[in-house]
Amino acid sequence: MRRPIWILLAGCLAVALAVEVTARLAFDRGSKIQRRMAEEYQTARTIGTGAPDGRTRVLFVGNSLLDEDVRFDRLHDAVAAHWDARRFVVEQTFYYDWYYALKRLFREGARPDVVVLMLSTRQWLRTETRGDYSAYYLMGTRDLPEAVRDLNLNATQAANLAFANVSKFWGARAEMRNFLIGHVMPDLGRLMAFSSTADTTPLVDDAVELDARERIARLNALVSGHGGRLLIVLPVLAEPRDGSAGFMRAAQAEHVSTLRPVPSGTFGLHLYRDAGFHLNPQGAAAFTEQLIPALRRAAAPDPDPAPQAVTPPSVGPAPASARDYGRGVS
Amino acid sequence: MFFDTPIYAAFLALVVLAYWRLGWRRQNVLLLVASYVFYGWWDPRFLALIGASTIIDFYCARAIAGSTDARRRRVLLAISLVINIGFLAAFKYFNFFMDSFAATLEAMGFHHAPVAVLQILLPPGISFYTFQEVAYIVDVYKGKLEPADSLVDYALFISLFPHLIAGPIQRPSHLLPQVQNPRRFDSERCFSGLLLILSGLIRKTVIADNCALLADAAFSGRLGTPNLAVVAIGTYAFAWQIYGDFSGYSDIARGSAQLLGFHFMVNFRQPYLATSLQDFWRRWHISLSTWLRDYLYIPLGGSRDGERRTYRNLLLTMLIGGLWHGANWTFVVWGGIHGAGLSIERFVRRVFGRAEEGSASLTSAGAWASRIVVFHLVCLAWVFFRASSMRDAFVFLRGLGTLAWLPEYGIAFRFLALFSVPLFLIDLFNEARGEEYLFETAPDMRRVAAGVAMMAVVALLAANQLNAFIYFRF
Repeated sequence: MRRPIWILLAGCLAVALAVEVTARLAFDRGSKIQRRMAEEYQTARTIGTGAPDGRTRVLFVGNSLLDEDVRFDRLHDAVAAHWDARRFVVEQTFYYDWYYALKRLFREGARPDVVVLMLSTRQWLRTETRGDYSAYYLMGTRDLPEAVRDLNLNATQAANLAFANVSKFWGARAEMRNFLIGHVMPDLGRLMAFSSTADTTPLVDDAVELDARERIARLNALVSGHGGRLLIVLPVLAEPRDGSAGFMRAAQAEHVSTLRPVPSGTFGLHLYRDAGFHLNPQGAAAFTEQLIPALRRAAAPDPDPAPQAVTPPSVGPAPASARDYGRGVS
Repeated sequence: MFFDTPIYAAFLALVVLAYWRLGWRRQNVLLLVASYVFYGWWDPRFLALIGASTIIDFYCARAIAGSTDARRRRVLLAISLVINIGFLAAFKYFNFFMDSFAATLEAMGFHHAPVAVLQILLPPGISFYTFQEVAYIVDVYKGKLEPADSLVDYALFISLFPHLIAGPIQRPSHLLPQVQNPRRFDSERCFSGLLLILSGLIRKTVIADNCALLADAAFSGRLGTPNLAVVAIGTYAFAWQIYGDFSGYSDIARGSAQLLGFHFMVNFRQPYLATSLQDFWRRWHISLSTWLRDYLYIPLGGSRDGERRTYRNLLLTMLIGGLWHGANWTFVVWGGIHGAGLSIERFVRRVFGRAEEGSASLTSAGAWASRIVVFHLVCLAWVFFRASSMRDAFVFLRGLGTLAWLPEYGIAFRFLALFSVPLFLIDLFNEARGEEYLFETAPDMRRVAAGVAMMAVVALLAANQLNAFIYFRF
């Protein structure tokens, strides 16, 4: 075979190795979001591993809704006397991301007394994950076959998931690309924010109740199997018919506490930073002040799993067909 | 198995390594098994369909060639065509025709007519391998081709994995002899095959998938209600997306084939530098346009029976070509625009007594004016190709009459330029030098450097989407 072929193959291999090494050594340090995520992951995996200090160890997990709707510094300070509260946020994540992330965290030794998961009902019910990123950062290798079944992946997608699970470059390549393009076009984020829309199609409570129950039970079994308690927080969305009533009925049937500090549809649009999905700082402050007492009550030794709010009267457009959980921003 | 995934890279590497260690007959068996694994990777049930049509055509062709009875030959040809087109119609067009029939009844006042709908999956690549099978059986019938002696050879000709899903549609006279004769390892062919694969990966994962982000946002309404800027962003983005996507696929297919010692026909030659629609179709999806010419346009009469018949034949060919792409009226309209455009072009050329152009100069202002007009006509047709319904297409195009501007549109245009301008410049470079891909004729070390640079660009700038190639669905 001619020499140039070998040089070309060696060059391509060198590029592949270089990006893998760069991803492993530099990426989590170079990107602000990755650095924050890596730090939170480290604190999450060590929760409950040290000597007990008498405080309840509470792990908050979720996506951008937890990041933006909850002022965690305020919450942390408010409960610090009784709780060792830690947070692990990964944007664009859904139920299955957290099911497998918690599985991996437990396996790595994390032992929180309480796990607080904050997702919208739609995010609970969508059968997807953050893809390659989750495969590397959130999933354990031994969970991949189960994840493939849960997510109904085809053979190509399954192979991709397995590859992303072992290659940090492959898992994080979208973020690396965004990082690079973001440097070439610093205002690109503005376009992305402009062109991303949350699915605000109303949800049908009965369908949500039916679909959510198995998932709540499964996550609850995972958490309680490792000595913890599951607590669910529902965000406040602008669309009142977010399926939360049905979701809370499902949670109640599974004896899982669900907090809805502020029912959806009750905050004015001026408290949101987008079209009714993520709160702005003012909205987050208001939401957090409602969340803190609700959390204190729910995390008390003898919790009342009953829903803590009722669904406001239905208004607005007709509900989507049952079980269509569509697309959404997280 | 998509071409832009690690599993395909591993699959191709394994096949190539094993392949060149075997003798010719065993190579064919290995490739056939590998091709069926590749195809069955989507859904093993699809193998039954391709297997059945392969066996039927193989024996029909042999029976046609072995018979001197004209009537029997015609019957056998008809059986083969009916089965091939029947499979295609059942899997791809049945629901489309039934829906259209129901809509017609509805329009005539027959409400809620009971119309059957099949819940079936479209087997990937069925349009491509059906066309290849039709070409084979017709060529054998016409005596242009000897039928294959070996079922393995014929099955491999139909299913060879680099072209199986989305072409290039291979002519029997070109590919079958390559299957039937020993291939020799050619390091230059291997080297350029690797470069073609890298070039294809850039076109697909860097250019097409990034442009797709904008096209999807514009066509789905995420850039706001359609206006002139949104229509321009969406249409231009889709134009570069589909070009990058399909030419990228073709490059990877051709490159993969070259690693195995095969040669596939060129499928794209700088189509957006075309100076007329006729020129465009000599540069775009060449394997399809020449197939349509040889197996549809010419059998319909071509340009032999006068001008009016020629216009009709052009229009019919392009309408059917449009429908071949997908079971939706939007594809028919897409084909109709091209068919009408080709007919008008021919009419104008005849009225003004202008000869058909050859390759236009890159420095002529007139040629550039023609290029801009043709590009925009092609873009107009792409709107129908991309839209999910006729209504969506018209709503989108209605935005042309609305002027509005937001700063985000400027960012979108810059993002589009970031990915489309390099491809345009590469096309200019290739056109000027008469090359198929960048640095095709450069010294080896420059080609190696280009290849490594392409690998780095793919690694760092590929949009992270497990997007099927657009033509996979056809």
